[in-house]
Amino acid sequence: MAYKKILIVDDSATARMIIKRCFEIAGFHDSQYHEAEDGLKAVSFLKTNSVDLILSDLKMPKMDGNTFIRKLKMTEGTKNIPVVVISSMGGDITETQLQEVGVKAIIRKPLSPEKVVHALGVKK
Amino acid sequence: MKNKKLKNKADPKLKSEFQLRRAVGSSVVKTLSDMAFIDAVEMPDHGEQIVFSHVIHIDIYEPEKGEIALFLPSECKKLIIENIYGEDWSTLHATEIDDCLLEILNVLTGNFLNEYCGKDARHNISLPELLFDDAKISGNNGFVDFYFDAEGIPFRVSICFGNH
Repeated sequence: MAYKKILIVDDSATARMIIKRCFEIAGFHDSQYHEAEDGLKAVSFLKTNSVDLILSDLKMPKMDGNTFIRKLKMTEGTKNIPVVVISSMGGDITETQLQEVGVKAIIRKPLSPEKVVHALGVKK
Repeated sequence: MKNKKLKNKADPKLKSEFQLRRAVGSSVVKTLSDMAFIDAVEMPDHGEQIVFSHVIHIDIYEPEKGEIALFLPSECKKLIIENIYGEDWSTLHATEIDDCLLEILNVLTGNFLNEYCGKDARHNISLPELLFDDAKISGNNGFVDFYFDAEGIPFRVSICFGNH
């Protein structure tokens, strides 16, 4: 499946760079990438922009990934956007709980192109 | 050798110390290998003082209380950051360098908790931070120090976790 516009939500600029690089190597080199450093900025971005895929960390300041994803899934305009969690799982939520709120896939850091391919079912 | 094995099996604390060492060792090696393509190996206690400019620190709240601190010499930071960014250290902004070191510890902590507590355990950790004074670390006798060699450069990981 083609994800033309991808939003990366992570408080670490290094993590955002690694995520983008891994997705490009995994085959998403034609995608357009946008970045937000926390859930609050991501919500603000999504008010005026549409994306095809969201990649979100969990542990972030201001608005953490758990709150951000729940907010997305409760909002009409964003509830159908697939969300992939990319995290070291430092948060107060389990993988089962994430799947219950509709997360498409969960990838543990450190990220690699192989993990991206495995999680999104893409074969290149 | 046989007696030592029996002793480890009979004494839960000794077994736990072995598991701690194994979890720290494998998480450090895995993190540096996967993120920075650096081969790190654990060393016996390092006799020389490791000179560092600041400590990279994180608190662990769940599944047990603990802390992890990274003591990296400048050469080690340079090696890690240049490998991750693929750019010369001198071209990077200080915030990029700090951010990269914090992310390394964040991932290392996740790897450690997955290894030591299992992937299904609920984890809760703080955001990593830079400390310019190691008083908080060295003042706590509960820390266990582990020494590693990253392609010829020694560095230290200190940890206190649970009953250690």
